This record gives sequence, C-alpha cells and structure tokens, in this order.
Amino acid sequence: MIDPAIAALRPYRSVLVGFGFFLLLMGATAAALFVMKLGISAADIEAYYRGSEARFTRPRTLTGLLEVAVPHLAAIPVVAFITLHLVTFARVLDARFSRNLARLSFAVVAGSIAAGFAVRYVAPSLSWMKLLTFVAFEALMAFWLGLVVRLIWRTYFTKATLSIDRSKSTPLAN
Amino acid sequence: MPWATVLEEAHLTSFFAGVLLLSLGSLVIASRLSSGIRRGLIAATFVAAVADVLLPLAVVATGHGCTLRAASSFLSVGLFAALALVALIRFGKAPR
Repeated sequence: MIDPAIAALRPYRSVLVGFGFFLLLMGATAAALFVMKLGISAADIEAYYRGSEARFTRPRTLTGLLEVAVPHLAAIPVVAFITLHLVTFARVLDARFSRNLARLSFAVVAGSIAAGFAVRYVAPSLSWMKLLTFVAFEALMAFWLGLVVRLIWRTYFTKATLSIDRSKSTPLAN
Repeated sequence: MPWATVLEEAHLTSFFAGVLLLSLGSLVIASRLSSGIRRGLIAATFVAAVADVLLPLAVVATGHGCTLRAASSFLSVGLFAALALVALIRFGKAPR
C-alpha cells in the first residue's frame, strides 16, 4: 500500500527536484567560499578573523561580522526548517531520529555562526571550533540532501496504487 | 569581477531560487491551472534560475556570454513574478 504522505507529495515532485538541486548548489558554493575566503586550516581562519601582519589584513570589524551573520541567521534556519519538515512529513526518518536531527542541525548552525564572533572576540584558539562546526554543517547539508533525494526517489518509484480493504468499506447510497 | 564575489552571488541566488521555487511552485501546482501550463511554468522557472546561478560563473571563467547572463537574470525574475502572480490570483481571493 502506498504511504498517504508520499501520495500527497507526488504532484509536487518537480519542485522538490528543483529544491534539491538548489540545496546542492548552496552547499557547494558555501564550501568554495569558505575555502577561498577563510582557508582550510585553523591558522588561516584565525588570520581571517583577527588579521595578519604577514598577509596585510586587518581584523574583522563587528559590523563586518554582523553583515555575514544576520542573513545566515535567517536563511539557514529556513532551509533546515523546510527540509526537516518535508522529510518528517513524508516519514523518511522515524520521529525520534527526526527530532534529534533537528536539534543537532540547529545546534551546529548556531555554533557555526557564533564561532566567528568567538574567534574574533574570545580566543584565537577557537578557530578550530569554526572549522569543525563548518565541516559538520556541510556534512549535515549533504545528509539533508540525501534525505530529499530519498524522498524524491520514493515519490517517483513507489507503486502508485492504493490497496483498499473492500470488506471494511461501506457501500455508497444511491 | 573576483571569483569570491561571483560565488557569493551564486550562493545567495541559489538560496532564494530554491526556497521560492518550492513555495511558489507548490502554490502553482495546487492551483487548478491546466497541467501543461503548470509544468511549463515551473520547468521554465527552474531552467532560468539555474542559468541565473551558473552563467555568472561561466562568464567569469570564459569572458563570454554577458548577454545571455543578463537575459537569464531578467527571465528568471519575470518567471518568479509570474509564479507569484498565479499564486495571488488563484489564492488571493477573499473566501465567500
């Protein structure tokens, strides 16, 4: 028997494919930007936030940090909210795992955004936290994308027939 | 234009395109327009939005395609506006 949630999502699979594709582009461009602007080591990240005499760069200002943080505070939770609702609605994951994934996702996102401020204003050694939370966030995005792909797969390849138990149905009155 | 700037633009555009396509596209699918119009509108918007994200990268890499990039941008904005308009017309009425 087809899952009613999958049957309900079936007409929307074209927009789900589009959303999945743009989720992939978001993750890929975020990773490329991180490598290009911040670098791939804790020392690079420390130099990016606190400035470096060797590279002739100045420390990041509070305004500059907020200009990056504020759009991400709006955008990342929206994407997480949409993705997690979709996969929870379609029961791609069991409810307990979904809840834990949502908690983990929002914690990693908050940690990743806060880490930039922490490196700049608390301790340079926290650049490891920025690197780890970003890698964790990219891994989570890849996992969300996997869930969306699984959902799309199910809307395309789950058998489209409903099995109806006729013994329990009531006859229609004419 | 530096690569970082073009990537920032692509990052931002892919976020808006993904979220708008899912939300407005769902409303258009739920409307009772003919199946061909719905599919055509959503497919055209998707293609234009993908071009809007990827063509700037191609222009920076090759130095060609500026006209196509500008056209894709206008087309993408126009098609998203069309999706929003369909959603407004179909669902913007007050209940009777």
